[in-house]
Amino acid sequence: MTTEPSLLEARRRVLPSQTARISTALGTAFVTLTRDPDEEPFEVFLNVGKAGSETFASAEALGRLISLALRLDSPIYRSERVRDIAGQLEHIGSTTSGASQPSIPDALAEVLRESLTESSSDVQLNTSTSRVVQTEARPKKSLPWSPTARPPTISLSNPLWLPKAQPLMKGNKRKKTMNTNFPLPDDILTTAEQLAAAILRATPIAAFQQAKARLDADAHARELLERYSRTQADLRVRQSRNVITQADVDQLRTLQREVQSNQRIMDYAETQQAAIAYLPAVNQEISQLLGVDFASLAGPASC
Amino acid sequence: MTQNSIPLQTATETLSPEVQVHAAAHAFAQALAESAEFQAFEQAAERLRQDETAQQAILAYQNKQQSLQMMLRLNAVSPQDQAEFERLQKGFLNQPSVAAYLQAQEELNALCQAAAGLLSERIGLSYTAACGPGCC
Repeated sequence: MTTEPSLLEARRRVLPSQTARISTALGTAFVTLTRDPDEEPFEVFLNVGKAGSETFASAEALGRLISLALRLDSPIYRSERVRDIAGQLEHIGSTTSGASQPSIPDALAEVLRESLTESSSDVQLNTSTSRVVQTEARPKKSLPWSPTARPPTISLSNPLWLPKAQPLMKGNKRKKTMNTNFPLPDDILTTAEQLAAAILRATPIAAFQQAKARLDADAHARELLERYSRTQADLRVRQSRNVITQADVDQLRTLQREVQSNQRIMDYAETQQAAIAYLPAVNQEISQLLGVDFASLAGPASC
Repeated sequence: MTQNSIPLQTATETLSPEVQVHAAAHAFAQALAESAEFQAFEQAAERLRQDETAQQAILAYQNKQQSLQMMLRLNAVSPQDQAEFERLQKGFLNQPSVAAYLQAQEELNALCQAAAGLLSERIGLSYTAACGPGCC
């Protein structure tokens, strides 16, 4: 049996956590941040790449070292430590990283900074580059050819293939943009409409739609949520300018408590999470028949 | 009749929502699989698989990329390595079967994005944000 070093703060058996997904130059990163009962950051787990790969190992090491820095017994608030760690990590770039696909440290810095203004029970508020997601039930990608028969290098999921190489290409970049104006053939349009209608009847999605309708009809709840979002956004700006004060944080926390005690908002947030967790199962159904992960094909930045 | 089979005369509304989703997902996937874009993608993938010259060009590029992976991360690739890397990259991108594969992939991506966009619009949630891409 091992005992934890005394310099580390003891860990509770169960801690609330939040997972953010963010695109990096080396693939999609999943950053999980656990919090203590005071909602202070406690640990960071970083997952990037395939298990057993160098990237995966380096990412895990980075997460462990950050967790160690957070758990060390110190008079410095852990949120302050997170801020310092983010400061150390941000702007570490590479030839393969860029604005849309930052390096792992840069992406991690962004998530850590965001975490400073969010608590584990925040309502899901998407940003342009990261969002809280359910990480389980992601279908394994199966390709139209068998892994042994297909070319070893061409794979939709191969991290050494495009678009990793894109930043190195001169004048030969391929566009990867959302294309929702693409004309859909009739049979796909019809079946997609039928699928959408069926999904809307599924229990988690129907519950989410009902909660959304109740929230939409509640002016007070909507106003509170908007105020909270605005305050959160303002705080991010102030944080980036390094002019954040304790009063700012207190104001956000007060609003946060108000949001958390609003049943309409919490119902909305919970049903939204359940609805999001349901969709990967639908995707798996489609992908199994198709032989390729449909969501990866539809994603704006699939690997 | 097996336990899993559904009587043909069962009205759609008597099926559970989950069964309806299953059936609709199946029909949607079938339509996608039969699309020109998907068929072209599969054919391009097969042609690429059969193209040994392209395979060798890709392998050479990937080997170089792998050997430089750490240096790329550290932003410490020498100009010579960088030039060689770019030469190998052009080498495989100029292969007709590679270009055809990428073109087919892009067209399939566009189709799938449009379909996923429609789903997202109807259900009020981002389909791709919830489901993936489960890559890398």
